[in-house]
Amino acid sequence: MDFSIFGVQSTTLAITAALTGVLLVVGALVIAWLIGPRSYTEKKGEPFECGIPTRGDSMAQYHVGYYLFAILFLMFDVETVFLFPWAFRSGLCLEERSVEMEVKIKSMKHEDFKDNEYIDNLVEQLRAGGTNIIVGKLDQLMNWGVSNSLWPLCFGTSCCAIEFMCLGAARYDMARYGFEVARNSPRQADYIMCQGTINYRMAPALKRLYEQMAEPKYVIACGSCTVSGGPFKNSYCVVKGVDEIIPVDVYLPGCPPRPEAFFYALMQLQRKIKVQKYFGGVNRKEKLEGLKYVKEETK
Amino acid sequence: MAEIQDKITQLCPQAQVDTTGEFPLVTVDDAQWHDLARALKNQLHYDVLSAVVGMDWTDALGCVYYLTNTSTHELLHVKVATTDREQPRLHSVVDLWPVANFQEREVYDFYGIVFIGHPDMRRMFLRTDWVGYPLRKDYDPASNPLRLEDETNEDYTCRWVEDENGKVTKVDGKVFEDDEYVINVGPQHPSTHGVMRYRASLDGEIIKKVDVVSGYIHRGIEKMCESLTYPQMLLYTERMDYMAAHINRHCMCLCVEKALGLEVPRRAELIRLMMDELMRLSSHLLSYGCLTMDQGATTAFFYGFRERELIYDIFDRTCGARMSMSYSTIGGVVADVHEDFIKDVRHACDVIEKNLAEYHKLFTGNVIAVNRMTGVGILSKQDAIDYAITGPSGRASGWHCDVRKTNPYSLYNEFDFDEVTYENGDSMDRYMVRMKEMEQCIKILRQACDKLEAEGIQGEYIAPKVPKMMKLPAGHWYQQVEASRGAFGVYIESDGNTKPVRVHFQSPCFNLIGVVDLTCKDNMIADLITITASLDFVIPDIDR
Repeated sequence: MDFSIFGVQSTTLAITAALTGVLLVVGALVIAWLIGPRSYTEKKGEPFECGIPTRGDSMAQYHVGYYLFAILFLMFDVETVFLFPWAFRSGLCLEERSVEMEVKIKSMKHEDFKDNEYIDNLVEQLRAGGTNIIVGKLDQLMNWGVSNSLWPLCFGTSCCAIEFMCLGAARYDMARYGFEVARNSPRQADYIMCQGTINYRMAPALKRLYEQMAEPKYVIACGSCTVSGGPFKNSYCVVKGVDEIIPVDVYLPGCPPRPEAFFYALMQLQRKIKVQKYFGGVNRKEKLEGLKYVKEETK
Repeated sequence: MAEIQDKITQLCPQAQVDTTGEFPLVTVDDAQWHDLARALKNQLHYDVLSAVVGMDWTDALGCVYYLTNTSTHELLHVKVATTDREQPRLHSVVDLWPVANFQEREVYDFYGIVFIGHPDMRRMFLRTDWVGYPLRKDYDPASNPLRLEDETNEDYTCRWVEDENGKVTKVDGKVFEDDEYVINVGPQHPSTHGVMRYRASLDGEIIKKVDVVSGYIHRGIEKMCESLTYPQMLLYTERMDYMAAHINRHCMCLCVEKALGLEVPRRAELIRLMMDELMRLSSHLLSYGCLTMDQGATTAFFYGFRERELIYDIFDRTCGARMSMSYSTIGGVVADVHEDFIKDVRHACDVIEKNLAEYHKLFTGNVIAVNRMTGVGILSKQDAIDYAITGPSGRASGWHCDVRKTNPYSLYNEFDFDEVTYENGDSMDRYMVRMKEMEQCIKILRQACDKLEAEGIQGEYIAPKVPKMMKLPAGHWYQQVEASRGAFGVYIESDGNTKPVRVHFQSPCFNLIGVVDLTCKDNMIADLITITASLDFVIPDIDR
């Protein structure tokens, strides 16, 4: 066994490969299958995410030139894969490990915001039932992860969207809390921040987008229009609050709310996530509900 | 005015001309309307169709057309009505003013008036399965509950054709042919700047036709205004084009003040003007940020937003809100400016002026920006006039259409500033007009600071006698201002009560979507994003 790659013994390599390639991947898949909440609807299976039902065949003929382009692209892509190990070996990348920084993101302290009865009640309910220490710790770990990397779906229909953009810009900088990666596809997003009026034409599109999101998913109704219809309540074509269409987790009033209020709402959502239970059947229940929903749809 | 009266009676003896109002009002039957329209355009140079206002006078349905003369900048309005409520029909003027295409579709959508000769008589804002016509006085809101099923039947269109004998028949058609390769963009798409939807027919990567589907944020503001008093209505003006909130509100105030004959203190008018210019600055900065981000220059987006915060702070201190300020009111402004107002404005002007150079360095000369914008999405001057494209986009095509210059309102004729125009009308020019206009905004603001200082930093800000019960005299009232994206107009028809009979907002962005097809045709699909970003529309302003 004197065979080595980049100076590493092949036995070590084999063990590493087995660990990373098999154990971690299979392990992650199994764990996700066991505890990940899921929901199934027909709309979730559609190939496009623009809010409109997909029509026609998405398989279409392209000009042969595009294939050539794709092959060239792939070639350069593959090259970069080999570039990194080579760069490390040859000492081009001198700084191999960046300094590990420990950033503690402080959520809202309970003493500062005692106004959310809903979450307090939820916590009390959970405490009353008692929690297994292992399961409880695992839940905490999950929730810590989920609540600190909430990715929003870019869904701004009107004025509130401009304030949301300010939130993303340098002064308010929502990246500090892990909210920065605004996704354009609902499949990659964790929550919809519904900014702006929803009217009768938009309602089916919003519903579709919500259903296309992966579990666990949350909704923040941002601005008076989405909370209750706001100033447009008396209109002939405005939905009087998005909770008529999709379940809402946090209501954020304002016309439009200030960026500080956005943070408040996002932290409320974090608090709500922090008391979530993944272990112990919650996800299974959701799954069954989802299946029931599909059956009703197909009927 | 008498001159115009003579000319019009010469052109069409049946037309009645009323010159008692603010602008001459021509009333004409539908039978003579199309001929008169052609004569007005070709002989009297009423080249711009500023607005088409659908109307329901209970006994009749009809339209009020606002025409603008490009050489004298005079306005004229023409009233055409039909008494048939079951099958209301008017003749289309799309062949004369292409801007009427979407304008007439809007009227059809709201009032059910069919336009004979219109090439594409579909609904504009409402669902394809909508029952009834919401802006009619006898509309029942219960007829359209919230429906969560998807829309169908959106591929079909129809038109009404008249033969030589005057018989009108309906001809069905399709928006796209069966073998066309159609790509759908939106309503959920980050680069549509809101909830806009395009359907683009492609040949390889080249766009053959773009069908704009609007109405995903239509909120029925015009109908709601009919049941509100004038001060209450001001709220909605800020929520259409929220990037021109002050300016739109200012326009509404000017319109009501004009109708009431209310004298506004000079100082209040000056404050409003300053707020308008700050708003314009903020809007152009946003436009810069979005346009750059759409082309991948994310850093530039942060730069634009950094300066916008300065302006937001000024609003915050004086008006108490960052957006939707509700600051102008009928008769003046609601509160006096903050004591540091002038200092803050001067500071913002200095910072933005300095940073504009940085913006150009960052983006304008960049090879990607140049390649993606120069010569792309060309809008000729004639097209700009035909499609009534005002504002920075119109001026990029070389059309002098700044309302601040052509029909000065507020105190603009006291200020020294230039109207920025470019020649080519491509994406690059539209971008450059906005960048140069920011310099002009700063110039105006500095002059205004001096004037305000001379008149006292705090003082009279609202007219002493503003009536509590506002009753506008019966008649039509129309006011245009230069909003950040073009000429914004408010049309009010009053019957002498506290509530209006009809309110119409002529939004600049609504005309802008009319040229999406024209400018994108024969360009690449990727350019659809840059072209629409350079046109810079705000979707709630389109849909209202």
